[in-house]
Amino acid sequence: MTHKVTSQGFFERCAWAECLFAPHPTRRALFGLKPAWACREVTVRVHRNHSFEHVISAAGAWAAYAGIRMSWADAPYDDALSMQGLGEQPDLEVIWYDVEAVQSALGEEVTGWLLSRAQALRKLSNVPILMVVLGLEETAEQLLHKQIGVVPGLRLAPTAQVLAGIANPFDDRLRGMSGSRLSETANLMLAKHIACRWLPAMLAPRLKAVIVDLDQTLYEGVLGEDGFQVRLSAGHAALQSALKSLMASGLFLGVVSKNTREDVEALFAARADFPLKLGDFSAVEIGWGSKSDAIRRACVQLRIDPSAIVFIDDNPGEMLEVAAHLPEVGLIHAAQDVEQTCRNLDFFPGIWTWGVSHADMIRVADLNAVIQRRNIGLQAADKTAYLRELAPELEIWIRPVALRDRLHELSNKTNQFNLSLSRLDEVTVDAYLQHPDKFAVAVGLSDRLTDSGVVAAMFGSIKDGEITVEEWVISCRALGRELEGLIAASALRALAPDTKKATFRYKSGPRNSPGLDWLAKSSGCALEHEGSVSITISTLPAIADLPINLTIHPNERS
Amino acid sequence: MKDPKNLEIEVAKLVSEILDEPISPEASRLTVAGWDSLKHMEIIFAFEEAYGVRLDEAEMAALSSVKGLAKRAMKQA
Repeated sequence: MTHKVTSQGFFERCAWAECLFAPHPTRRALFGLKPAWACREVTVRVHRNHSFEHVISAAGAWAAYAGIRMSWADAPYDDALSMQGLGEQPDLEVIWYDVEAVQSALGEEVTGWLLSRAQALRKLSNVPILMVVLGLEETAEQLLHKQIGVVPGLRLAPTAQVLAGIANPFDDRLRGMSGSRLSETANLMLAKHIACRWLPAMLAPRLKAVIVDLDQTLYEGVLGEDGFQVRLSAGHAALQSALKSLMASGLFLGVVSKNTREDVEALFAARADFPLKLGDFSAVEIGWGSKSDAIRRACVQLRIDPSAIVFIDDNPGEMLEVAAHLPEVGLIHAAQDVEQTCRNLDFFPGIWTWGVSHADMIRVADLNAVIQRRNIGLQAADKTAYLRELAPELEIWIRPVALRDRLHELSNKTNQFNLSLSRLDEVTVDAYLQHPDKFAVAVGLSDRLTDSGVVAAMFGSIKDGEITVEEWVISCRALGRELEGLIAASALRALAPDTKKATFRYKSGPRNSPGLDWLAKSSGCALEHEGSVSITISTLPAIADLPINLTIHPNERS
Repeated sequence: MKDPKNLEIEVAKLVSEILDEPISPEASRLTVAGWDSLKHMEIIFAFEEAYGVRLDEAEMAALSSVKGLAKRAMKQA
């Protein structure tokens, strides 16, 4: 999402956050917020059988905070969701449906029917679909959630779960006049979820890290003055626990603090009551230099771009300095009211995720293995000895439909080793998996230190025995082991054992030089800005030459 | 008790914030083009929240002017 923060806009965004993430935001206060920053225009088409206008009008301010300006195109009210006469394709489709109208007629079949309507929409539109269903019991919603994988790019909003947290989600007075039975409290709650959680999670990759200051942010007090007696209030304990949960969901945590390292280490060692331990932070930058420089260094350690982090600090001066030097960093001001900070973090656009995958869960452990791997490399006599010590195992899946989400994620999140920057949507990924002339290959990598999970994705086509690789990405978690060529060769050989050559498409972007350097070296060609080059597969490393185990899952389509 | 005139000015301000245009205490759905049925519900939502009022359906439909809303707020007070 676009949330570039200029120094000038920082205080304005702080004021916005106070209003947007208040315990009980009001429509009147929301309407008073007009963004002074540029927002990305997103067109949304709504297929509905009850009104959504009161939700979207309230959602505007939250969306602007997320850097989105929503432009809504609605289809007519239609209990049958017949999807007739759709015009130009939007950026996002929303099915906004109250099952009350059809529940008595359909009974338990309502979830299957909803799924069939989403499938019908999928045939007419390639863009992501968000389904917000009112009136399903939580168990029915969970059942539907388990089934939605059959429709690529479909997400089911946890509406029942959200409304369960509201005392009065429905207001029968409003049925006639507003066209929906949703109460105003529910309107506002759904608006906040749509704009700060569901839309950002559909339109852009998730953020990758939360970096925090220490003094007056993670606890009350100043380490240099109060020593170990800094106070852990209930609010600070809640904030630390929230950060710990985010770490468990696959976000990196980092510390950037003006203190001395010894003091910080001693503090964490002394305070067993802190939910967070120093070891929970994958990047620790303690020193007296500028916070923006420290954040840059933390990003290098985490192998991520500053645009993929949010930084929390209590000191407006420090925040302004970061905004001035790193406007792409998301900022949360650690307010005196820590609960406000927790709410801001909870709804910060890009933090929420549709689900925690295996890749998310192993991300932190995998980064920790990087240093150990580097040490092994320094001590090993040669590459073979290095690999023998690591004992890598490659796993290759050909057309793995079950890995569609991960393949989509790799195409959209990978920056450094991403040859053509195609940023495939889920529908296109599905086409590569299903179409007989196309292919998608997933590559898993583990070694004796960690299981890195599925780290590479190859998409392409085979015509008359000729392979064209249209997209080839390797996650940065697999880089640095000098296995890029081997991974490519293994994938191609597993896909078409008799093929001698493969043509790779490429496009130069701001951050994909590691991938392009590999392609130039492997093909022996100088690369233009955009184009394609061929590689003779036999020139790439072969698995037989190296101490690596390989497992191939030949056709996982069904 | 609030002065009725002041209350009308206060309600006009509320309506103005929802409609995003200047509104006089004399304004009503008949005189303000932007005060359509959708905006009317939003005004009702904001009015209920601001004055701790819970209107019945008939009132929601009937209270279609600044003066009417101010009078209802006065009754609540």
